[in-house]
This record gives sequence, C-alpha cells and structure tokens, in this order.
Amino acid sequence: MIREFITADSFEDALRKKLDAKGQAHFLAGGTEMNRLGSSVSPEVAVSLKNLGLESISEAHGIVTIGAAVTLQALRDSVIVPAYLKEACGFCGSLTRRNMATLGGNIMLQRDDSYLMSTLVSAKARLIFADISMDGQYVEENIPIREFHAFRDHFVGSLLVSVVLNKPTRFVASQRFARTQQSPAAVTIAFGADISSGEPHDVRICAAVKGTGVIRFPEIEDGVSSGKFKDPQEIVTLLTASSDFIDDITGTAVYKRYIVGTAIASMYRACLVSIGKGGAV
Amino acid sequence: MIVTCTVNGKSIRAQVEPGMTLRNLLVSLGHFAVRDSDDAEGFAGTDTVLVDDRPVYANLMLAAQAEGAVIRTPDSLAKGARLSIVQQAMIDAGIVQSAYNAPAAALLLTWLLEHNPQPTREDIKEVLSGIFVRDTGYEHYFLAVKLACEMRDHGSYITPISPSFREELTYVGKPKAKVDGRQLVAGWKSFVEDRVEPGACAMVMLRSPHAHAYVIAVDVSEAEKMPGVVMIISADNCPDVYYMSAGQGNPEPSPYDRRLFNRKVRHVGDRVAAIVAETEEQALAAKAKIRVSYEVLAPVLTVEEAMAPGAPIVQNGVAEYLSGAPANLEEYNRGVDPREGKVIYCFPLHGDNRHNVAAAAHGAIGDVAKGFAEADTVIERTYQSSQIQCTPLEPHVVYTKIDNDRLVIHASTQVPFHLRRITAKVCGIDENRIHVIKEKVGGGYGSKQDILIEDVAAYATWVTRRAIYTRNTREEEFIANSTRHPMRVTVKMGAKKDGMLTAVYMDVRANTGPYGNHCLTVPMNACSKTLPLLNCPNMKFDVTTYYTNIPPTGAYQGYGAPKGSYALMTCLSEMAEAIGLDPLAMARKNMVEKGFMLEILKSLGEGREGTVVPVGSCGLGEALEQGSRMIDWGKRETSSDPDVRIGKGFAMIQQGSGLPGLDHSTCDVVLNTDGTFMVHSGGSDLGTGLDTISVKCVSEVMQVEMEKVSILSGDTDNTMFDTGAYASSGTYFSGNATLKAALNLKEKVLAEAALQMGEPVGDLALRHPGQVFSRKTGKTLSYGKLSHDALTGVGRGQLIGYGTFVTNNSAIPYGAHFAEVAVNIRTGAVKVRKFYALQDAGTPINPELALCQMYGAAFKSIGHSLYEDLILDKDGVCLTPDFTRYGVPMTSELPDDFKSILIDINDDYGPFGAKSISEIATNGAAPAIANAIHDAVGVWIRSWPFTPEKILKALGKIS
Repeated sequence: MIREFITADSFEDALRKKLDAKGQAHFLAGGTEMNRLGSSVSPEVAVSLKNLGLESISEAHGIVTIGAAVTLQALRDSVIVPAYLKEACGFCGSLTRRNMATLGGNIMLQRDDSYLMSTLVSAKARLIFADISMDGQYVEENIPIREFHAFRDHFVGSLLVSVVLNKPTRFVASQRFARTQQSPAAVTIAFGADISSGEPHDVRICAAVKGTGVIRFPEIEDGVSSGKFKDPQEIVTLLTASSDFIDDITGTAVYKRYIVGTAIASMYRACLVSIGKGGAV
Repeated sequence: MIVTCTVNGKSIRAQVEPGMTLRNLLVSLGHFAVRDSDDAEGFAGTDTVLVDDRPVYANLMLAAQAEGAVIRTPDSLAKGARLSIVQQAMIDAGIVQSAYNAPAAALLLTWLLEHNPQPTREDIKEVLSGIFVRDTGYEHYFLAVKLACEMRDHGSYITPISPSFREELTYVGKPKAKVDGRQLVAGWKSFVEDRVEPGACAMVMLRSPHAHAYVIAVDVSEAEKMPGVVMIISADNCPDVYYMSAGQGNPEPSPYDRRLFNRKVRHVGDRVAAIVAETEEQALAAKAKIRVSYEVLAPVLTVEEAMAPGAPIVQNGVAEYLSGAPANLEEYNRGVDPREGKVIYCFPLHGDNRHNVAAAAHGAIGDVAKGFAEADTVIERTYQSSQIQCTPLEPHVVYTKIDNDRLVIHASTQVPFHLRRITAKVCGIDENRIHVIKEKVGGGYGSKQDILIEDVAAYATWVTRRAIYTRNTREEEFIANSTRHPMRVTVKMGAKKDGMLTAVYMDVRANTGPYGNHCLTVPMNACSKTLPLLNCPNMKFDVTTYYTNIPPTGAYQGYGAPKGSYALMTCLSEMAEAIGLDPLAMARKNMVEKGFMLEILKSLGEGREGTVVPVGSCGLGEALEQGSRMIDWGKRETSSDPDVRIGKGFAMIQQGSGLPGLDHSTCDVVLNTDGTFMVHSGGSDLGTGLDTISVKCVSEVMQVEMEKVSILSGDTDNTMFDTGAYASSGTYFSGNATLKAALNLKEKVLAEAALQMGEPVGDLALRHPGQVFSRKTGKTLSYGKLSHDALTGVGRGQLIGYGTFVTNNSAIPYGAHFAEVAVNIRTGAVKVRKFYALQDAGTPINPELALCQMYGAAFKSIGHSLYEDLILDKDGVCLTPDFTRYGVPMTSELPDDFKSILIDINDDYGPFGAKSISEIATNGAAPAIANAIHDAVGVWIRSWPFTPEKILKALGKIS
C-alpha cells in the first residue's frame, strides 16, 4: 500500500529519495505494475518520475535515444523508433495498457513474459543509468543491456534514464507465443544479428520464457555466428536437449523447448532471407 | 495530499490518500460509471477514462498521478438527457446489453472518432483492444461506429442495422432501441452498486485454502474484538438449514448438500466464515485475525479420480429423501461422520454419495445393440471438455437491508423469485417478509442463476438488521462462482456404408465439483440438446455426475449442450471420415426435419418423464444450405505461408426455449390514467432485451408507440411469479405471458370502449396512435379518455390485462455454425479466419439484439474451444484466477470474417412466432473448429481447449 507519494525534480533527487526510503520506495512512471492486482512490487513510497523529462525520443546519426518513461504506445506511434521495437511493443495487446506501460518499467521488471527484453537484448541496446555511488556521488553510466541482464541485482537501486539503439546495422526479429494476445506468453523470443558483412554475425538470441525468466542461448549464438549450423532446423534438435524450462499454465517444458527452437530456426531463416540467402545457410 | 485536476471541464481540488486510485477519486466525485470489473488487473477496461486525451485504466493509476491532468469520464458524453451520437449508435446497433462497460466503450469510441473521423475495422479493433466484451462480441461495435459516422455526416443512418421480419408487424421483428439502453450506455444509476446507501456495512468472506478438509475449529475471538466488527458467521452459528444454490424449479432436481457454512470445506475458496463490519477495511482486518484449524483430506479433482475404488469421498453425509427414499437408507447412513452434514434429495436423482455419484440418469429408444450389429462401421471416441468460467463483467454483488421490518435484497440475479424462496428458507422466514429487487444485471450467462452471496448477506442483514453491501472479488469469481462442468463424453456410433446412422450411444461423465447444484440437469442437457438433432432410431445415453473438489460448477449459457454437441458432432464427422463420406452429406442424411417425432425426449425429462413432441418449426436444413454456400464448402483453400494449412468445419446445433412443463411466467399490463401502459413482468431481463420484447408485445397488440409503454420486471413485490431467466426461457415464456396479458387487456379495452361508445364490441378495433376505432361509425375513443372515464367515480375501474404462460409445447431453435481455420503446422497456432453462425430463432423480436447475442455467444465459445482454461494444481488451487491468466478472447482473437445470420422461420408456439436465440449459439464453435482443424491438418483434437501444444502433439511434433 502506497503511504507516501513523492514527485522527484531531478534524477539525483529521485535516487536520493528512493535511498531515503530504505528499500520501501519504488520509481513510478506509468504505474501499470505498481498499482496492478498481483503486482510483483508493493512499495510504501512511490517516487514519481513525471517531472524528469524522460518521455522524449530522439535520433542522431542513426542512434535512437528513448527516454525510460516513454510509453509503449508512444513508441508504436513514433516515426523514428525501429520497426522491430514497435512490433515488440505490440506484444502488449491492449492499447489502453500501452498508453500507460513504459519502456523503462518493462526493462526494469525483466518479467519472464516481458514484452521487450528479448528484443532489446537482441538489438544490443545500451542503457543509460543514473545512480548514487558507494561513496555517495551521483553518477551516470552507459552499459550494454546484456550487462544489465546478467547482473540485474546490481541495478535494483538505479534509475534507468534512457535506452539507446543503433538503428541501421542489425537484423532484429521477435516472436511471441501465447494462447491469446493478452495471455501470458509461454515464450517471447528475439533473434538479432549484424548483417553488415553479408553474413550473420555478432548474434544475440534472447527469450523470455515463462517460469524460467529472460535467458540467452550463447551456444546457438556462437553456432550461428560461426556458421556451425548447416540448417536452421538443427537448432530445434539442439534445444530439445535443454532442461531450462518448466511446466506451467502456458505449456509444458517440452512445448516451450520445441517452440524456442522452432522460433529461432524460423527467425534465422528470415535473417538469411534478408541478406539474400533464401533461408538456407 | 491535495490533487488538482480537471474532470469533465470542471476544476477539481481534492484531498486524497497517497495510495488512492484515480478510479476511487472519480467515484467519490460522483463519476460512478467508472466501474470496476477486474480489481485493478488492467484488463477489462470497465474503468477506462481519458487522461490528457489518452485512454487509461483509472484503477491502475494513482489519484496522485493525475495532478494537473485533464480527465474525461464516460458520464461526460450525454448532455443531460440527450445522448451523444456514439451512445445512440451503440444502442441502435444492439451492443448495449448487459452493458457494465458500455459507458467506457462509448468513451473509447468517442475518442476514436475525435482523432480518426473515418476509422477502419483495424482502427476500431485497436481502440477496443483494452476492453473486454463478453455479451455481444465485438462485431456490432464496428456497425455502431459506422452508424455514428453516418449520423454525424448525413444526419441519418444509411446502413441497415439488421434485417427486419414480419412486414405486417410494426415493432416485433424490427430493430428498435432497447428500452433500457439509454440509462445503461449513459452510465446512469442502474446496477446494484448504484443503490447502496451511506452507512451500509461491508461483508467479506474467509475462504478455505484447502480443497478438502474438515474444519476443526474457527476461532473468532480476536476478530470479534476488532474495531467495527458487527458479526462473524461460521459453521458454529449459522442456521442448520440444508439447501442448494441453484435457482431451479421447485422441487429442485439437485440435492440439498450445503449449509451457509459447513464443517467440511470441499474446494479451495469454499466458505469458512463471513465477516460483517462497518467498513471493508475493518472486515478485512478482522478476517486476518480469524484462526482456523483444519484436518486436511486428500482431494479428488477429476471424474477418473472420483470413480476410482477407495477414492476420498467428497459428500459423505447422511442421505435423506423428501420423497422416494430407498429401502436400505438406514443401512446406507450407518456410521456417517456428522461433520459431513447431509445430502437431501427432493426426489431420487439416482445419486450415491458414498461413491461420489451426485446424480445419474439413463435412457434409450429403439434397440441400440441391434443398431450396432447392423452397422457397417462402428466407432467409439471420447471427448473431454474443461472447466470454463462465465466471467460476467459485473461480479456477483448484492445489497441487503431492512425496510418496513422486511428484508430487501437488491440483487443482480437471473432468478428473483427463486432467490426469494431460497433466502426465506435460509433465514427461516416466510416469503412475504422478503422483497427481491432485480437490478440491471451486468452479465450473468447462467452464473447468476445461482445464489452465491445473497444467502449469506440476507441472513446477516436479517439477524443484525444492518444494511450490507458485498461483491465478489475477481479471484472469488474464478474460485467460488459456478462454472461450466468439465465432462468426459464417450460417443459410440454405428452407420451403414451410405452414411445412415444405425445406433448412437452417449456416455456422459460430468464433474459437478463440491456441490450438486445443476448436477442432473446440466449433464442431461449434453444429451437432450444434441441427440434430438438426429433421426437415428436407436439411441441410448448414460449420464453420471461425480462430486469432486474442484471449484463449483453450475449453469453456464448453453448448459450441458456445448459439451454434448462437441462430442456428438465431432464424432459424426469422425464417422463420415471412417466411411469416406463428406461430413455435410452425412449430416444431411441424419438430421431431423419438421414433423419428425422426437421419441428420445421421453427419456430426457429433467428428473421426470419427458414429453414426446414432433419437430416443429425447423431451420436446420436452411442453415446448412446457406452456411455451406457462404463458406464455399468443398473448396480447398490455400495459404501463401508454407507452414499454414486451411480447413473448414461445421456443426448442427439446437437448444430449447425454456422448460415446457416446468417453467411458468406471469405478467400484467395496466392501462394508466392517461392512456399509457405499465407492464409488470415477472421475467428477468439480464441485459438481453427481454424488457424490450415485453414492451414490443404490448405496443404491437395495443397499437401504441413503444414510448407509451413502461416496464417493471423481476421485482417480487411488484410483479407476479416467473421462474426466471434461464434455459432460454425469456422470450418464449415471459414473452408469451406478456403477450397473453396484452391480449387480455385488449379484450377488456374493447369491452369498456363498447360500453363507453355504445357500440357492439365486434365493430371495434384498436389502431394507432392508441385509440379504439369503430369500423362501423368511424368514431374513435382515445385510450386516455377511455381510461379516465373508467376511473371516474362512476367508472368501472382500472383496466388490467393478466397473462400467465405454461405449456408442454417445445419451440426448439436450430442452426448450423461453420468455421474456417488456419493451422500453423510449425507452431500449432490456430486462427479462426471465418466463422458463420446461422440460426433459426423463429421470429427474432429484437433482431439487432439477437444478432449481437449470437456474436457474443459464438465468440465466447471460440474462446472456450481455443483459449480459456481454469487450471488447478494438484492440490486444487486455481492457477488462473484472473482474466489475463485465464485467457478470454479479445479483439485480437476475432475471426477475420464473422457473420451471424438469422434464418427466417415462424414458430407455432412462440410469441409472434419467436424462439430463443442466445444459448444455442454456444453450441457450435467447438465441433465446428475441431472439424475444421481436422480438415486442415488431418488430426482430431478431442479435448478443450485446442491449444497449440495439443495440435503439435497430435501432429507428432512433440511428444
């Protein structure tokens, strides 16, 4: 239950107010998580980011910078946001919820059915965080999203300021598998690769798997980057041996393994098509 | 803290708590049409408002976040009594039915047109993506937007709203605005929650965390000391009265197997104690202080578990019979644990609670064994349906109070008279001490045929004399509301090479859950609303219903028919495949036609012998003919996606129109002093337009505009008895009662006019605009003058028409649903590309409302077939207790091409030839889609829901 509502007037102010609350505070942008039935967070103090100017989207030299408080619908409506991210925002099936849910909120929650995390990881997004250092100094840092993904707990007290995307150099595709558009997804998965050389390399494959979390597939990433797979379908076989999945309401582990493999193979084929290879390795 | 904002153009400065939601602030400011369907899940959209010109969920937003915001709420759309173009178009299109979120939808569509004056279908789907529509589907929302645009641009509608029927009639069969549409779409006071007065207590329920356990002790000592606590009711202090929750005809075909609170809990969410306090916060605080100790028992969750030798026994109480007790009853009841309570049968239902059997029924016509012996091919298949939630947008809600030393119950119910009877029994008082007022029902679909919270609230009010308001949380709706019974239906079918069926056998094993409400009638329906579609001479059925520890089951639109239909119609197609015949040809060979004697009905009465009747009006053949043309039956469609296969399927369907021989409706129509009319109908309009049907009947007979006719319905003090709105009875029974009352009044008006005009009755007729006309002399007498003169000191008194309707005649609606699906063989995903629902409703009195109900019911059933699933863990805990996890379909799941077609046929017994419309529309989707999936990829899916995982397994892609 929220017992105090504070509006921050700077990044540093927001961070210090959160620190002052000694673990009882949460940043509030859209509010779809904090106020939601069955929310994963239950803070006593809400630190509103409303006045921090985090709602802007800008582009310079092919670099798109998106404020953390930009809503999913604003991303969909933007003319400069890459199409793959717009498509991922559409995984949130409700216009009304997209009007409230924010990019930053979706990243920071890193839910196991996250709409955006797998796409952003595959896109090799970078994240700008503001923080208060151990010695009490205000700092800002620019990190690759894989670092956030790998060391999420390090960023619990941090304020995500913006997301940076390098627009033109990557193929990024994502797919979501759920019973309905608004059901929890069994799997939301994305495939990203640098295709500037005419071959897919620097591959990132990331999936939000219900019950497991947001995971990457380094062996497959390396395999694709190195041209190890003769046929994308080999990935399905490889995934069948994986044991990282569990049975839940969205499907059995067997189903999730199959669908992850199938989706990667399909997006890999699409990547090959995009570089004129007709879907064959 | 202080929040300043603008609401509907008015500056607001409000003191709010930091955690207060924007919805609560707006409701406190009087904007009560910002309603709540999902307890802040951010799903259903009933709480939609515009903040800074963007649709948002008011329940997901803190009031504090609205600082400086410009807010619009749904009640801003109407200017006084004048509705907006969008609101009026929604009424005219027929989509304002149960209407709990109609104001929110009106706001969204208004916002859409403000930003996009000529929206496409996809634009409309997008804007409605955040609002859950269960009653009417979404199709006529597209029509409403079109109508609004036409009215805005041309000053009138250009697009026809719906087809019209019966040229000779003025109101019946024509799209006319639903009589309560204005109040519902505008968000004026309509629902139970709108009637709550200041000072009402709150009531919350402590529910069991265990699926099966004895309640050893309920320690309320600490809780009772908590501030504001008025009363705590548990098994220790509730009346020792056994009853059941189903609002069915009396004597009920369901056992009395529960008290308000029992000493044994039988499902997760079962009642343990009710806490009445001055405020909800106080009630919840007290609830947290109650200490309950349980002796936990092993649960049984499936029919198979319940049938197993040595299975835990769910209802192991003393069996009693009010009539027809078996001879060995004393022996049967020996050694029963008193904590198990009782199971009381009004008459034998062939239950055996020592073996978890709640009820059983068996019947046959012809010689089934001979039929199978004569068959060239015999197949036997088993089909499983899952537990499905009704999900009304307005949860179960009640407001009880004492007035004039009587108990007044403001209820959202389908059965006000049954509710009165059952609460009278629970409270131990006579029915004359209770006044039930049926308010507008924000969605029922059968679940509000059951008395789920009214019993406790009524008793608490009667004892404490305090007004009480309570409503289920959405989670309670999932775990403690009646649901569709899971069923395992085995069909054995024999046929000759030419496709003629020689024998059909259905074995229905139903899971009634913890209590036996509807335990005989729902499973019986799986046979009684399906087998009579076939002209097979040899048919047999066995129905057995088992107690288990799943959340309660009960009535749900379609009753048992959707599950029986799925099994029987899919099996018919499987047989067609087995003998190499086209399924449509197979259906045509074996379907009934007008005049066919339905012998099977003799053994399908609900707890008594049924009546054999011939097939009456029947549009089945026409539905098959037209539907097959529409979907281009026999033509193989292909996809540009190499992973996608396309297939087509269909199903024949039927339902009933009420329960002939059991249902009873009554109505009176009063001629007011100014020549207008007041209808008092016992019928319960649950949003489907029954009140409009009644008004149309009176307008048609009395030859007056509908505006001259008002109606009060479902009020036990002010209307006469009606069994209620279930089993598709409204139009046929309540409608016929109103028609009879109107005809009775017409007779009296003519007799009075003959006296006043000094002319023979035979020369007089009624004509527009509400006058008696002499065909001989040309003289006229207005109803106003006639009524006035009848009511002067020397007149003969007020003219009142009375009508009561009972019958043994059936008015069976028929139809056929066709589906075209695309199945992705790589992912198992199924997309419904086309869905055509063709139904014969006799004369559709409200054609636009009828079409919307067909869309709503068919779409709901698409949801049941493909997506929805109430999933329990091994301990009986519900894993899907909200809309999101449960998986209801929204705009994204709409078929690309969705059509409802009314087959024009006149019935001999329905009012103006009308039959029922909406329940039947839940019966077609599952078999039609299952058959289409088979047509696409060659596999039969024999269990609901048809998930991608099941498809992949059937295709051998995963094990």
